[in-house]
Amino acid sequence: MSPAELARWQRKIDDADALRFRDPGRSLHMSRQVLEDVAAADGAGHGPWGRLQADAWGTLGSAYRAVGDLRRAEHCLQVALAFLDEQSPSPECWARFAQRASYLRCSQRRFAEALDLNDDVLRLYREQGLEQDAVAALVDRALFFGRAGRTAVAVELLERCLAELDAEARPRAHLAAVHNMAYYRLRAAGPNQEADALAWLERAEALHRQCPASLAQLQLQAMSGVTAIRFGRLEEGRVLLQGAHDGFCELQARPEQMLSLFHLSELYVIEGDPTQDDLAQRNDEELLRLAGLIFPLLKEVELPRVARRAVLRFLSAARARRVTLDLIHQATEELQQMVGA
Amino acid sequence: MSRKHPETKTRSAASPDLEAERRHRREAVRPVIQELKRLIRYSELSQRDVEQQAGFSKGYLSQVLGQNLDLKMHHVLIVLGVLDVPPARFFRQVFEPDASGAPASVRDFERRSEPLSQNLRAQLDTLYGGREEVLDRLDRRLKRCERALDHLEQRGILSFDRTDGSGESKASGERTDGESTDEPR
Repeated sequence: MSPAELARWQRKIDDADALRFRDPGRSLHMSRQVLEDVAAADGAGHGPWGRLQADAWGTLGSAYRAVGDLRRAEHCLQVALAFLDEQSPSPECWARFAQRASYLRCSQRRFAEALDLNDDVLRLYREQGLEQDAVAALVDRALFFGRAGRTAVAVELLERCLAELDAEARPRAHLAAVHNMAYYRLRAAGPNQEADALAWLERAEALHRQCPASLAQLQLQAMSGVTAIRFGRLEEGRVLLQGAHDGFCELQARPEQMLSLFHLSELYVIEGDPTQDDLAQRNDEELLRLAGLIFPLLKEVELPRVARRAVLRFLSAARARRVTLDLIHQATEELQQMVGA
Repeated sequence: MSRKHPETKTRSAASPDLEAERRHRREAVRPVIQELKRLIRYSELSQRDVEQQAGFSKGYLSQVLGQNLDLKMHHVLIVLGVLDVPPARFFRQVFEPDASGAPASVRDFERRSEPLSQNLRAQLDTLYGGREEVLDRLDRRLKRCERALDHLEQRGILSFDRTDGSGESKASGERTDGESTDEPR
């Protein structure tokens, strides 16, 4: 395989990987295609060929993770690892693989393992003198803590990262840091903190405009909707959430789609007034409709057992017309840990 | 009679040599500490639980793991006992690192992952096994062609000039029935 050919394949793999941030469904499709092409490339058994296979499988694994198919994601990463093992790769290659693996463990809510992989990623980057990569890996670490529910640690780490990160050299990591900072602030904002959270939101949105990543933008939009509902602006929240949900559908981002449906359900419980029969009936029907949209997603999204149970409890309550805010919150908390920001 | 460790005497005003020696020792022990930390993190127990079950006083383990106190062999063995990890496996992991250079966490990832599904195995066969199959098929087809040409030659329909010493067959240029070509196909 000539160097030019190798570079061409590598570019295709990188394009498929980058597309994951904007459109997970298309990224999955493209990753599958690239993998088939790369598998048929000349030079089987040689170093560059093997590294290319490892990269292609790693990218496919990440694409499966992005659409919520964690089992296939794990299998793909194992194949990538088998190819890597044959190549005696550089420490940097190992760091990149460990980074992918840590994202998967985080999505599987196996946070201890994700942090352990992240320890090695940080060590390898620092040993290689790749300081900015190490700071980017520190952003990952903050997000793992955030998803594990330790938001205060996450915020503290993100502040450190934002001070050390070269925004021009690592635009995506910078965007992730600002985006998640906005997300955590919106989530935790009390009555006097909304202005601060909104300032972070504006900063994140400005970055999104420079560096388009529609999935992340939709996640922020959904979080703005949830915040609007929390502050009593129900109609604004509904419009934001419905828009985010439609966007998730288009991108085939199933876990996010499910989460936004739960947030929308919350609206109908908050609005419900048991003294008004008509309204109560309409809201029950809306909840049943949303449950009907959530149910088929259960097949497509691989949920941890606790999360699955919370979703099933909600579905059966919707059928019995006995949905409570508590049931919705249990499900959203579980899904939030899986999806993150 | 108790014997004091030389380090305790000189801690307040350590000479540069001793300081370097101490740093060297700390570096040498670091992989053992890191592996212990990793095992505790993976276990179902918190660091405090391990400390309690090991019979250490409160905060003692974090001092040892933070390298503020010297790590002693019996600390390691007691903690391994609490975590139910065989010492032989522990020391192999620390002192016989993976030859491929893979970090220990990546090997853990591999060990803790599900076995590959049959579907994926089949997909791998199609993707990578298929290449050999195509070559085999091509090889079989070429052999069939060669046999057919030999057969034609034996029947006198085609003949080859094999005298150029290059090892390659050449047609003599006789016309075959209905064909206008002078090359065997």
